[in-house]
Amino acid sequence: MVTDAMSLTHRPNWVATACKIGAELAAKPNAGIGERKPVVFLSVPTGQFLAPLLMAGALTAPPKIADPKAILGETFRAVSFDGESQVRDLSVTLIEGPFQQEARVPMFQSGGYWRKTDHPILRLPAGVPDDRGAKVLNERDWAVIKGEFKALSERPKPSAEIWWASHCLSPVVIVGESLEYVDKQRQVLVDQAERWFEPDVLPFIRYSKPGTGNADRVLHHPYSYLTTDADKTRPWLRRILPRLVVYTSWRAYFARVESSFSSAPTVVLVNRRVWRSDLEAAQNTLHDTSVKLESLVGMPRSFGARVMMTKAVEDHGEVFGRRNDDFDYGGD
Amino acid sequence: MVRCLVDGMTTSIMVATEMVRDLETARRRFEIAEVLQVHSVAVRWAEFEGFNRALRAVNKELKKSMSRVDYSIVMRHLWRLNDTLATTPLDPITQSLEGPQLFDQVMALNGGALDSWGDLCTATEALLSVEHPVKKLQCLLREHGLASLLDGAKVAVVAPKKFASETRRQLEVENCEYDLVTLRELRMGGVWDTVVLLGTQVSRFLQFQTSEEAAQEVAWLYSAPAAENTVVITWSGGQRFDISQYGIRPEITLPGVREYGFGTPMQWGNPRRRVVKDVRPQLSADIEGYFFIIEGPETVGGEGSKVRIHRSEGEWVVPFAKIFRPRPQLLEVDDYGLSISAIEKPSDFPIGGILVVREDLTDIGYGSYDPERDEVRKIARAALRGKYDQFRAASERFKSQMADAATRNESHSRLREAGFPHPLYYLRVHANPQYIGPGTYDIYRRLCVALRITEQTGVYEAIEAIRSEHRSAGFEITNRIRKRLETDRDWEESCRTEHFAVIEGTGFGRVVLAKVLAINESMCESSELGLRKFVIAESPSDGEEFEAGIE
Repeated sequence: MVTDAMSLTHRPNWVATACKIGAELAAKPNAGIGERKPVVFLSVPTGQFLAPLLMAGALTAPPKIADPKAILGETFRAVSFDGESQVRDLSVTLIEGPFQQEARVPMFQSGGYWRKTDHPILRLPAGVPDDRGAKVLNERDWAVIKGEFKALSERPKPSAEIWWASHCLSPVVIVGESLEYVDKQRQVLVDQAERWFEPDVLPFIRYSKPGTGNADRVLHHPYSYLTTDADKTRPWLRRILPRLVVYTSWRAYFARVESSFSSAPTVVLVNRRVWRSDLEAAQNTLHDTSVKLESLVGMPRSFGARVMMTKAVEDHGEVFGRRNDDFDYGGD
Repeated sequence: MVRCLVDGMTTSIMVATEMVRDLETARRRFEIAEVLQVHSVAVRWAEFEGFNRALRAVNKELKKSMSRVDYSIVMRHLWRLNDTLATTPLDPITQSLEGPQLFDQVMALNGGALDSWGDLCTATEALLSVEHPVKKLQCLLREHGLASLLDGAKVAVVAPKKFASETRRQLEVENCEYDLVTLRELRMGGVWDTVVLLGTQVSRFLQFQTSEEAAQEVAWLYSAPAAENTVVITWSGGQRFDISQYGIRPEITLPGVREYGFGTPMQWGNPRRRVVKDVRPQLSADIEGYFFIIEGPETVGGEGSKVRIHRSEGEWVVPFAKIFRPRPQLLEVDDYGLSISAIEKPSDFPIGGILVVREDLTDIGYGSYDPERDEVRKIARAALRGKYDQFRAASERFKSQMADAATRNESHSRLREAGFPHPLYYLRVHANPQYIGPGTYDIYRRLCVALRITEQTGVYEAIEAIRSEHRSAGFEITNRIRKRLETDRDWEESCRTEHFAVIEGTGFGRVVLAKVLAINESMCESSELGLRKFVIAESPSDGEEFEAGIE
């Protein structure tokens, strides 16, 4: 089906550029409240396949998991590996190690499991629903993931559990419309052009679960698709710190609640063929020349990038998105 | 069961196939954008030049002697010619495809009242006697060494839908199967080896836009092209193709352009644009300086019986005017009954169409009206119960804070730093009694930061609640008018014979129905301190109620 011209072994320039941008931005630290983080408005001839490519790039960057900052004896809700085959929400207590040789070493306890403090544990913000759904992975899924972990060229973490959990706790979030189509793009890339990707990122790109499109299951998967209104009704979601946020269109970015993921590096895809969006994006953004991103140097002509540093703002619960117009005079 | 399974499998295979095709298209789009080459080819066309000159002479006379020509079907056609005039010199290739059809109408029209009519008929005949330049497309490209762009290639020729059959009739190319596509199909469709643009494509948007705005609308042709080679066929007497017009974003590198067949261009211009340029007010806050004026019957409002339509940053805005204070709407009758719809741009005002103009001051802004007749606020107050006054006080408090800030010297520069392109608007709009408050939370927040006003979510919520209820009230009143017009049909006869009708009733006050008799354009006077400036100082996309400022 794929033409000869479409080399599936050679990684095209535009694919490499998108992956590089995703990787570099995802590697930037998440900003604290009041600090600034980069937003890249990426002008492209088509937005198709860009979101999965940016995601693939971002997943090569090291996960960013905030310190839960617990005090000894404190019990809090967190998301972590459950000791069996799931990354899920747990009630965790910081205790002194239960074993003789670790008697003075703080450890997180949840049920019958203990974790060292350097294991991936992410404190959940207030308001996360008590029950965020059933198991994500079955035994067969987990066996596949473990197999993929064994096949990694470099094993960055001591175990498959820690490796998988650390990626889920620092997910890539894709916000926009037609998300099923975006997921199909990911699938086609995996099916048709697997060699375009770094081998170490393939387990995540191959990963396919319906729950990735469920806004309530963010942090249970290495990536999530969110509709543009998902953040309006979920204040807790706005406080999540993803590794990278990708808005699939200017409209999706414009409609966001301002405090949503405001600490995370962000890419906004601007399709040049949607000329109004392109124009609006051009009129509403200013390129900050002081921001130097290596991945933007020497980009092909098919890419244009504008970088803005925007402030991370605290979420106060308001949900005022921006509206397009204010011109309504009582007509039909 | 088995059949279902087979159907399901077939569907998923088709979807997968489509997706793979999409991947291939995306790959090509990126590659094409990197290597695009634009070829600008000009054709010489003396007969067209003669026709154009004659048409312009008619236009000039037409403007002078409006009263000599009856307001009839002839007028409509003459105005259509006027539109053609406005765009043709810039982009004659596609426009002239309509030639045979349009020119037949010209010949059939009774334009004898105009002295220049005979010249136009002669020029038209001369133009029709020669081949259309599109016919020679292949020869033209061969002449310039570009034959390979068509030979055996997958080609798309772009022409507006209404010119499709004429284009196909005229276009003769050998060894080349071409797709005749519209601009939209080109944008949404796949990719080709060569795209041929008949004209720059800008002209079709010029009726209500400046050439810069129109160029932005088609900028994607050169930044997200559908073929490695784009051939732009233009007229050697027209304006030279300038790719820099199509740059929306400085960070996008535009492709190189090779020119073929250009001589010294004729100095044609869009007459509408020229008028604007010559008399545009020199105030920095004025974005565009002219209005369309719709003239209704004298009886509606004497000299002021005009509805002004204002152009701002590419958008047409029908503002509230002094005489027709609430924005006029258009009344339409179809098989399903009556509808009253908002008017957005001059083309929405058809000659002979009926405007609905409310005189009961039912606009959505605040205004200081007779409370007894003020239906909008009456409805909104009832909906918000006791909270209306509380919300209004919050909104007025914010306006007074804006007024205080306006007295501070640094406010202007602070607003500019905060990204407001027209700070004067925000330094003055508080004085407008109809102003409710910022249109979006983002503007509110940025104003607070720039003008050192304490940001309070509740204040914006109050502003938003009032605006929302005023709008709902507007809908409600429109509905009441519509129901009344449906049940009492006397207005139809009145509009037919007198061109207007007046309806009065409880719940919507006085409504004037006025027939549109003519559309004209005019400059708007502007003063440095006048409220009118507010109207034209802000882009509509900024989401403010600037239209309320006309006085």
